Amino acid sequence: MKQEKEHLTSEESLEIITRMIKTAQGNVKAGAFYFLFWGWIAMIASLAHFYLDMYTDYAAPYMVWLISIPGWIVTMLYSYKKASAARVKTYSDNLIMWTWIGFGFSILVVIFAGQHINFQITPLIMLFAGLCTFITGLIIRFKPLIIGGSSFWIFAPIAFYLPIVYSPLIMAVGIVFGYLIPAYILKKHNP
Amino acid sequence: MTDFKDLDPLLHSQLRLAVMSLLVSVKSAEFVYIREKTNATAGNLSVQIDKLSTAGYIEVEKTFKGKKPLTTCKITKKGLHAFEEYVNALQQYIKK
Repeated sequence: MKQEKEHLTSEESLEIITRMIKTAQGNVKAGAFYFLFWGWIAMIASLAHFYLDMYTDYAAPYMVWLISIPGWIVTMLYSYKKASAARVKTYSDNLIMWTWIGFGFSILVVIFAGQHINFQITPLIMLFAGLCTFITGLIIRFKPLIIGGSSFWIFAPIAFYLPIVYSPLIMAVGIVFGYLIPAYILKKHNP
Repeated sequence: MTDFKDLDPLLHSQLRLAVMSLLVSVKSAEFVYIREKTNATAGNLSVQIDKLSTAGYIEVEKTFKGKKPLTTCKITKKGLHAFEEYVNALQQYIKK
């Protein structure tokens, strides 16, 4: 397209429009970093939580979740760095970002409302995580992530029905299917 | 032919149409990104972007990324409307 062409046929015009729109769409696949990073944090914290609660006398096993505070800081720094390096800003990236910021606010409400909801915090977080993963999968049109997000609609009710002490264990299994497996597939597709 | 809409001359040009089609699909894009995707020369792209900006079809923001100058383009409501009109006119033209 080095020479400027002023006399286009309608077919040429249509061809340019379709090609350029397709070019822009090719850039919307988000990286797998966030799902891998949070998948591993959540899985390790869940297993540690379950172990401490089940096999030790430690009074506050949920304290292992404090590990998520540096996790949030790393996430914010990483996304800021990535956004300022990006040469194009897409509507998809924006939607995904706000979906997960919304997730952050939602789980804060759930955590602080803990005693009013019988401390069923973990299954509720799983529901929100599943929904946001499902939406992200739809936005980037990536089936493994859509299926992964949907799997929380199976794991969350299981966690609700079982005694509360098993919630972190179900969470760890849910994270493997909902986050880690789709994220590794995504990474393989978009290294 | 009385209802035939003339194709917007500002859009009916290879590079300007490519720039507009690209910007329709994204929130904003840097000059370098547009140049890469359209395969245009920097000089030619600058001229065409100026034309689109003067017409109010796109918004051009000039800032700095570190010490490097950074030009970011974004489609305006007027530009989006013109693009839609252009596509509609094109469809009518093809139907005939």
